[in-house]
Amino acid sequence: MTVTEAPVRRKAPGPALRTEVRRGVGPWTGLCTALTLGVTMAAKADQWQGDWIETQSLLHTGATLLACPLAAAAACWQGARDHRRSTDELWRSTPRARWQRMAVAALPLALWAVAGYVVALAGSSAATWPYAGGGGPLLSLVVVDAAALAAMALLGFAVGVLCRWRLAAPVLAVLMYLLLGVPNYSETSTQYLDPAVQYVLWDRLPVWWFAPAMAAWTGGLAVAALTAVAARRRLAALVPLAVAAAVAPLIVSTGDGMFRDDPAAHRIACTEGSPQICLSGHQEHLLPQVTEALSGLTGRLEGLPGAPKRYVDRPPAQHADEARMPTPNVGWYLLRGRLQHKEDFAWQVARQLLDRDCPVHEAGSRSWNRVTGTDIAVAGWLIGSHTAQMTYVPDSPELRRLEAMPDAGRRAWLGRYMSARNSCDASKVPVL
Amino acid sequence: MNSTVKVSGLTVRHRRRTALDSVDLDFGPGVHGLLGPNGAGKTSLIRVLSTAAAPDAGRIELLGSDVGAASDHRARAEVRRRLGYLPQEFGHYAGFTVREFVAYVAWLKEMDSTRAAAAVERAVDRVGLADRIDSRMKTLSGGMVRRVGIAQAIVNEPELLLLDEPTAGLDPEQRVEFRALMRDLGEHATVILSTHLVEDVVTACEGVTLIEAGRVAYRGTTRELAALGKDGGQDERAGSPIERGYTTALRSHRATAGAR
Repeated sequence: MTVTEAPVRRKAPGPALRTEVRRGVGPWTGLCTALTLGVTMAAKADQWQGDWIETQSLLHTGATLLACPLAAAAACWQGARDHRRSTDELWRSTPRARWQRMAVAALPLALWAVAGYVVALAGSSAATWPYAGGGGPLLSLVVVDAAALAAMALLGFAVGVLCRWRLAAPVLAVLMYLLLGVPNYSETSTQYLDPAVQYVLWDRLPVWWFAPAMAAWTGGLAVAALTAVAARRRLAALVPLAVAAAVAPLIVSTGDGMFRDDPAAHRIACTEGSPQICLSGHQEHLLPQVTEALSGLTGRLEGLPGAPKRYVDRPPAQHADEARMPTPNVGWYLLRGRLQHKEDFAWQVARQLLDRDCPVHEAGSRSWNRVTGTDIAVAGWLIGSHTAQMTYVPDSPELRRLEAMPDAGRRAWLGRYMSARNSCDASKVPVL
Repeated sequence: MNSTVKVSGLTVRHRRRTALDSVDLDFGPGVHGLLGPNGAGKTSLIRVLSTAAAPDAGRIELLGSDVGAASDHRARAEVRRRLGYLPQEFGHYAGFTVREFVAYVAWLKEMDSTRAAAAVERAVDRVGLADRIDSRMKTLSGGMVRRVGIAQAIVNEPELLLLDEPTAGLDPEQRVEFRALMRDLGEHATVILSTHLVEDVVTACEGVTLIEAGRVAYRGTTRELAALGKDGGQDERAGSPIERGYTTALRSHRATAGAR
């Protein structure tokens, strides 16, 4: 027998991992993930471009409901590779631990899925950034989405190792879609265990431990599943499972409490001068556009007694000199950072301005009909544009009378009217 | 003989069928042929020797270590680092290049990473695929894939090389080169070659073991088997001396087994 030196054990998976990363379904998974998210985002660009929260919310939805099932299916296909390629027998004759071989085969899928997500995130961020007026995506949500994608890839791989059925991958994708999507309709706090749940982030921020807890939950489950199918000592799966089991009660018991108030969203930023136009800190960069959109309305009210001194995009705190205006949301009033539907915006402000919020029993009375007609006519006159008036106040004799008044008389009448703009006493509203 | 492979009482069952029935065998360095009809148990023996399958009973000692029992995990891992195996059905990853695939197997064999790249090139060169080393596996012909199978088996310069039908799909020229390679490898390692092509055994092997119905039907050198063919009284048109010897040994074993 020839005695040869025993080969040095090679621990580093470098070349094998590099090969697995470059070959097979890994790169396709990354490409499909990026394309799926990219096409989804592009198709709904009007609804998110220019707003970080909307951008990340839609990306979160796409990543968890579309890309996660996709990654799971691709990894399932990869997991079943040794069955399809009949390599099991040869691999059993090699000393490398089964879990190492499987980790090297599964990790590229997780990495590629995350890479596809990161590409989509980078593209979406680049598309939003020029119009968002500063800020950026929430790192914690990026971590949660990336962890979910990686976890679904590892879970899918484990399913592929166990299930030799050729249709396992597409069936798993459908099941994963349902498994991730259905909890969104739940009202209980257990829904927060679902990484695909839609978070309300408009004026809230995740707490610091949100991302680590969610990553431990999804990652723990996935690593437990992979360990159970790949490790020689299957009981080792209990360790990651214990990690997942430890954080799950924390997530469920905290529920909505995983999100705290966002100071920037609650901060009010106002223009200088009078009247003030105020938006949340997130939308401070929109103040010039909103001010310009309301310039006609504020100009017509300038100097009138009872006219608001502040326009705020949240319920006024019962101040007579405040008026509420709609939030310039992406998807309707905002398109790539530009305020659009300005006449509608002004119309909504005018209607809110003259909102009387009176008891229902007054409605329908003759005197109240007069007040309503007067309010609509004044709102129409305030928005100024004839085109807009034709849209919102198409046939109003009150408006014609208001327009026909001499300027001085109209200002006098408007002064009396504005003093009673929120009054529920019809007798206090001057006749037009 | 300095045995690198020793099996005793080796029994392998596939469901209710007994593939190997209490077989005792030993092999030392050199090239050994495993001959036998289809279903005789050659592949079962090779699979068990490769440690890819566990025996139902018996003792297996490879390269000085017992590896048959489930508890022999560490010894089995140590032997596997010094072992090369080409299964009858050679599975591979079609998207890998030849270099990547052989390097992947080198990683699975826990080879020293500093020597692996050179070992891969040498193994691929030895099977005559140096010019296709960066070709994807899916672009290779059946014979070339088989040669990649041999390359992956020898990449770690194994002390024990187990080849199951290695020449299937090779053209005559490649087969000649393969036999030369086997003779070369057999100078330092124990090579066990399972085949039903007696020409491979004649030209490449020193010893021959004939398996029939899960039992050892004959053991000897190729010369002895060929001599058995010459002495067997068969018509020379029935085949080469070794083929006649193969038939004679098989019939003799069947007659003995039938008498028992």
